[in-house]
Amino acid sequence: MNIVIKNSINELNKIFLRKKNVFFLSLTAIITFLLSIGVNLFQSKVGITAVIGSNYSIAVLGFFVKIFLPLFIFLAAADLFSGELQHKTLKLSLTRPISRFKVYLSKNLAIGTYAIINLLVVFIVSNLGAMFFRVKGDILIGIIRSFAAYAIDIIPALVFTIAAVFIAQFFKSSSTALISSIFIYIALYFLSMFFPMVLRLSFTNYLDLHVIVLSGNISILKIINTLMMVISYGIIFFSAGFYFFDKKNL
Amino acid sequence: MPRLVLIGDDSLEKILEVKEVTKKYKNGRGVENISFDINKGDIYGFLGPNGAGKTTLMKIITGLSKADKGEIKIFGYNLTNDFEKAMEKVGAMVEDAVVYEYMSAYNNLKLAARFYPNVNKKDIEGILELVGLSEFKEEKVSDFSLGMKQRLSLASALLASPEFVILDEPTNGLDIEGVVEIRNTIKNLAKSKKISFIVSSHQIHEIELICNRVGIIYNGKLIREGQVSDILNNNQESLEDFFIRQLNENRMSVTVDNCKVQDEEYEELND
Repeated sequence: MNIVIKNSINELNKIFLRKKNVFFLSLTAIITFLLSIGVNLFQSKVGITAVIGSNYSIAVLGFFVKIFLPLFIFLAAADLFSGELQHKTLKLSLTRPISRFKVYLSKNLAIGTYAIINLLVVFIVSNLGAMFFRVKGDILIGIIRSFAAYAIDIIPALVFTIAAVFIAQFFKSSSTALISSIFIYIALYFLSMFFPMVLRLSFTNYLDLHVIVLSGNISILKIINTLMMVISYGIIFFSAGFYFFDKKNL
Repeated sequence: MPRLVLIGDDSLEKILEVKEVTKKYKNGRGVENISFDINKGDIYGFLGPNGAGKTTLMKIITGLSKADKGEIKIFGYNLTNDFEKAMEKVGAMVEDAVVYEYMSAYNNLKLAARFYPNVNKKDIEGILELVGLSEFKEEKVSDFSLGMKQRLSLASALLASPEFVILDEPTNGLDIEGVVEIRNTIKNLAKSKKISFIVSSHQIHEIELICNRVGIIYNGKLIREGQVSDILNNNQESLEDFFIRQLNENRMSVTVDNCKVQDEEYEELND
């Protein structure tokens, strides 16, 4: 098996052996499920249908990719890079027969896989929860639409992972990396509220890419353009992140 | 009379070739123009006071740090251009006894084993047995003592049956029993499996007891190197006296305390 895949498994193991990551993932799943029950009960009591079955999963997705997923990605990136630098465990990988590039790549792959697992868990749990208030005949269509939305959002999630890893290169402690990443993310969010240019160009505004792709109002060219822009951010952050990772003297 | 083990043979395969390696940090410290070779079967000791450049050199040899100038070859492979090939048969323990504290001892080694195609569960258990950690294999490393972490770190370096092992201050923080155990492990592996070692230490007695060749490093420079037996036989002095004389000749005032000379307990245990 390729050394990159083997080390990616190692890095993913490291993520899941940390209780906090498993705890947050479990908590997300529980809250998503309980929320579906809560929404259903509320709607049936009040008599207003704000969220129908097929929308619930997608509504949760919009919320999840903007708030919780970035936090989980920042945590994982901070642990696997800044945290390992801080605890000196980075040399345990770098003194093995694997190049720095492959170590960097496999860490990115592991965090990206972790992000996908998060999305998968939320997809499954939200669709299970949506069963409570899905109309018959709506189920399959709802799941297909929901699956498409989650699948589309994998792309910006992976680019976000690469960007989070890039930010982590500048910090020698996991807590500083985490807090700084959160501040940068919040800063970009507020800047995009006041500066339209930031809104258009910042890739953090496309974390819910499914909204653009599935809206039906946007031309295919615009969608491709947006996708290319997001992917190019990924290439830039990956190259820049590796440059700083490779330069490190441990 | 100090005891010696192997004598490396210059006609044997060159394991490590270091040519004119220089690395300078912003504070001016580092290593300068270091050149030496290690042959198959050598146990090469790097001796020098704290801050001499031993760890810097170890880090450069393992790729943790990049040299400003010079070339390093391991098993004939250039470390910069062919890193993976160079490190295939190398085990390393550099600076501190570093392990993943949130994992068990077994999982730490399982992670390391993935880098090598031929390492299996039996090998992991064998190495844990060798370093005396079998009964603690499922315990979290955060509960281990420093000595246990050091032994686990050594196990990680030896896991893939390397042919060349790099050990930076391997007995740091260990009690006397631990020190003797590590020392005997190194000597036995060198003798039985022809593993070459490079060991850095600021403890003269340790180098004298383990190594067949020694390089004295001071202020980032390799000021003297050679066979330990030649040094002792030709100069009719202990390695400690030879070391102090070399440092004095290089205009460093040094006392025995600086060099942390081992006390008599080592000789008693070794008997």
